[in-house]
Amino acid sequence: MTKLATASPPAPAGILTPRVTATTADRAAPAVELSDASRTYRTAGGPFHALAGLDLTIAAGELVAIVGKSGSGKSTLVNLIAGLDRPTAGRIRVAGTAIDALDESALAAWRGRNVGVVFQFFQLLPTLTILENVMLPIELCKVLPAAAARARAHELLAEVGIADQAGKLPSALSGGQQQRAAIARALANDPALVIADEPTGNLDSQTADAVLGLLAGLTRTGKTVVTVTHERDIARFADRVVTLADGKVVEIARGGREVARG
Amino acid sequence: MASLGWRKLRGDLAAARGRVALMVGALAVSLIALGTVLGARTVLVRGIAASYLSSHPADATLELPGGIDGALLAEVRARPEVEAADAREVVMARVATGRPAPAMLRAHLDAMGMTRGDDTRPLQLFIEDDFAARHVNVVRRESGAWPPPTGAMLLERTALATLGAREGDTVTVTTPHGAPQAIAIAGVVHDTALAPAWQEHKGYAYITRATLAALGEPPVLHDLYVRFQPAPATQADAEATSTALASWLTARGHAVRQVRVPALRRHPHEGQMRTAQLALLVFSVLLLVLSAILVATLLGALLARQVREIGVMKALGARTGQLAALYAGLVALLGTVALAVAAPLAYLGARAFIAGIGSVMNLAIDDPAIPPWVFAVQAAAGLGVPLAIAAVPILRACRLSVHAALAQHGAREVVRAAPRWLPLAARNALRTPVRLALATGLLVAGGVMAMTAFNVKRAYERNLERMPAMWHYDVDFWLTEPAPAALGDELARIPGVSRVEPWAYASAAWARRDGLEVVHTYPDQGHGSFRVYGAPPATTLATLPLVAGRWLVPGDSDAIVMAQARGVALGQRVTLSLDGVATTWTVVGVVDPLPPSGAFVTDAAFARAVHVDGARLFRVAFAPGASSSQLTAALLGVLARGGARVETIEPFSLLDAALDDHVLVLTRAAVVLSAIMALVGLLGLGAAMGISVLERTREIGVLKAIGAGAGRVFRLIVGEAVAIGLASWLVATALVVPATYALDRFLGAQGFLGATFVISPVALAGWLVAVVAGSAAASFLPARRAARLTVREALAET
Repeated sequence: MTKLATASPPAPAGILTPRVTATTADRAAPAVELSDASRTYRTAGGPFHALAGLDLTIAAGELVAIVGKSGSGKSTLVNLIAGLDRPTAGRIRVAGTAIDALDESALAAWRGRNVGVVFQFFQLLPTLTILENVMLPIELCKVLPAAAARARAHELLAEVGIADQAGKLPSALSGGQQQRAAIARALANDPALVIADEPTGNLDSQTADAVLGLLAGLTRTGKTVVTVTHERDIARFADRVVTLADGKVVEIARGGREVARG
Repeated sequence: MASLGWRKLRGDLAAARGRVALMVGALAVSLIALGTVLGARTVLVRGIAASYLSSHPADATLELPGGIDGALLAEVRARPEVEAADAREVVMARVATGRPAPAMLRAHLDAMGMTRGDDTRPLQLFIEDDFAARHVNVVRRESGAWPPPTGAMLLERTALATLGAREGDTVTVTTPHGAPQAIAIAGVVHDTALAPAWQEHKGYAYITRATLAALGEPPVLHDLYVRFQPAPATQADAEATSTALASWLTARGHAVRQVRVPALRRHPHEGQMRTAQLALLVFSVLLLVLSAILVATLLGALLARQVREIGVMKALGARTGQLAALYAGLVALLGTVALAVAAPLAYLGARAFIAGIGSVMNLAIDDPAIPPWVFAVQAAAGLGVPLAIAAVPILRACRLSVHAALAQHGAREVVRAAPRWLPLAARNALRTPVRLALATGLLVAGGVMAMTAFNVKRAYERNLERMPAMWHYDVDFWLTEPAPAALGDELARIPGVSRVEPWAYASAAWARRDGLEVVHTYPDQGHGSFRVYGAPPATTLATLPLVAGRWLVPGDSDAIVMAQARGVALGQRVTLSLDGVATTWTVVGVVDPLPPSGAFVTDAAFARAVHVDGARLFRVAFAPGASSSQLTAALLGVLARGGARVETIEPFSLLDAALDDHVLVLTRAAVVLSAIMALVGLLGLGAAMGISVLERTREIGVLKAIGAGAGRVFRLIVGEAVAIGLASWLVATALVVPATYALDRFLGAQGFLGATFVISPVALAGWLVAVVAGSAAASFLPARRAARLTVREALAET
């Protein structure tokens, strides 16, 4: 992992301390590029076109919210970007890598180092402690030795505000705490891209705000965040809001942060 | 993926420890059974032949009516084709131990209405001069004196229990020509060449010529036991060499009455033992395959629960190879645990099984060491087979795309809707038909084996039940020489005696041009023997079922009725040697008696053919309620006063018991094996039900939320298991018909069974009760867990 000097002011308590600052050059290269991307599923009722010829570019350091009604293709889109699913047609480049051309093994290795995924239902492994859940991506990708991985995991848990829960099983934590743990896990290998699929879907409004704030804070370190959400307030956290309908982009609006930056 | 992956799986195993324990238990039990059966079979196959051969069994026995002295024996031993030779004598006697008959025999006597107190039993005496210099049919000293002193005898070890005797006892022995004599049991020997005494329902004893003389018998040795060199390759070779030796003896003035050439170096019950071994081998393979399938099924179900977590790990960067290795390691761990439990128990089980069979079948297993390859097979079964079969569900789960895994698509068997007219429990069981089929495979196999074993046992019993319809006597008195047939009239006048028939008999062989009588009888003079009976044509004590032709009629001069077709046709002329006399007969009928041996001519024709008048067998029927012991004593008295020498007394009940005991080992082994298979099947069913409950936790929560109480949920789960048990019974019942037919045919070819096909309703009903009760018991813990779930807990399950 590359450590760069902190350029931005210290983050408020509870927000992730920036590690790196994205440079202008980094911001110039798109973090995500989808070209004519399609995804079709075979169902008992015939083929279902979840995405149809979608084009989208996301710049590095952006926080992009994907919104739309149920069945519009939101989750399919972020799954394709994260390499959790494969397009039926089209090209997808993430951080300069054509991920649609990678085989499963290479894709898994790439994903572990370059993408952090935050799921709606947290998806913490129930028989590992919170600390061990955060350490798992590091061990899977062999990024750090065990002792260093443990220290890193402690650090991340402290940064999301649940360091005192490190030794507990997920079932002992509240929904909000579990989602914070999931965010810490997603950041374990310092990925450039963070994907969050309905990260606040199971949380109360206050906790949801806090989680969205955490995610928004990640962009200050140069990370790109793409989140699927039903939250009406997402606009004030996001740089852009992409609206999908029937597998197509129907609107791209400026988010509150973009507006704020002017 | 080293430490955290394993820590995760350890946690998963701990969370599912009940189901995992059942699965490992099922695998361990099957490995124990496999190791026990395979290890025992391997040693027994090797040991049965070795045990028999260790006695240096005779290739042939030549009966010299003129006796064998030392000089003749030395001449025979000097022959180039003779490896070893001994002179012996075999005399049938009766023994009274003064103790009650053994429990097994008492049960038979009681069943036949014979009173207790009649403890005279058949005793076969083996006599020779020099026990220390035995070269043929060698016996092993177990305890006590060696050789037997004059006035004492050594008892074969299996005869102790059969006669209810102990070393050191003094018993009363009565020979055909002697008065009852007190004889001490001075020691115990082990004769590996004989069938166990308990199967033959007679004792075996070893005495010197001096003791024989003391018992009132002529101290002459008539039987020449011979082993040839080089060892004969076939029975025909042994027959050729022995008849050549017989011709040489005859040419030197030593008449040879009979040449007995048994199956070449083959134990008299080897066929029975090999049948049991084959059953054990088939069982081992079947259990291995079915257990592996069961384990793979349960592993597949466990993996299905892991699919979402597999998807998460892949999302975090885990590769297919890493995950497959992790879960393969899990399977290997479970297999190793099962193997660690099973291997030592299987070893102990095999050793105990070997010792048990060795004792029951009177074998000498000198080398009980289980070969290393048996352990290798166990290891392969415990590790390799589950890994091989689990590879499919493991790879299937690990190769799922992250999207499919997180959506829990593809790893589970598609749930199908069952016909709505079925009860809910049955419909639940049919939701996953492939898993249902695999989980019930062991139950089906166990059911087929158990019911088939009972059917065959019942068929054998029904065959034996035909005997009272064939034979209407209570006791046979076998004489050493013919006695006046009129003696039968005196016997019939004894109060309590209903009928008496004098029969003649002689050992028989197909006539040869050289005039020698060659038979295939063993030295115990029982196995392999063939007799021709001279029967009253209008006999009322035998009604043998006709297969072809007709029974004897008065006036038949050369008609013969065969007990088995023996390759002859009706109307065919056959020449038989009866006690050395060549006789020719015309086959007029074929009957199907039990035991299935012998041939029948009229008593008058018999007497004319062999030039001997008189009866050598008195068949006696008692009046209902008569005391057999008192009548037997009275009959013996009349016979003795009439000059008849009784060789042996054979109650009809003993014949029935002996025939029954010949398949006892087989039927009991089949029942035990099927019980083991059913146990493993029920363990697997318990594990499968546990997984099923886990998979349907949310569904159970919904049921409770809409009004189902704990009792209703409990009954639903138990009902599902019972439905599975019922389904297995239905399939097993359908398969048991061809299985029973096939086993009947096989045992019939081995000579165990007549043409009787029985499907026992008791077996079907009994297995139904057992499998329903077992299924209910197997599902108790999962059902209780389901009943205790709260709605909140159940609906929170993801």
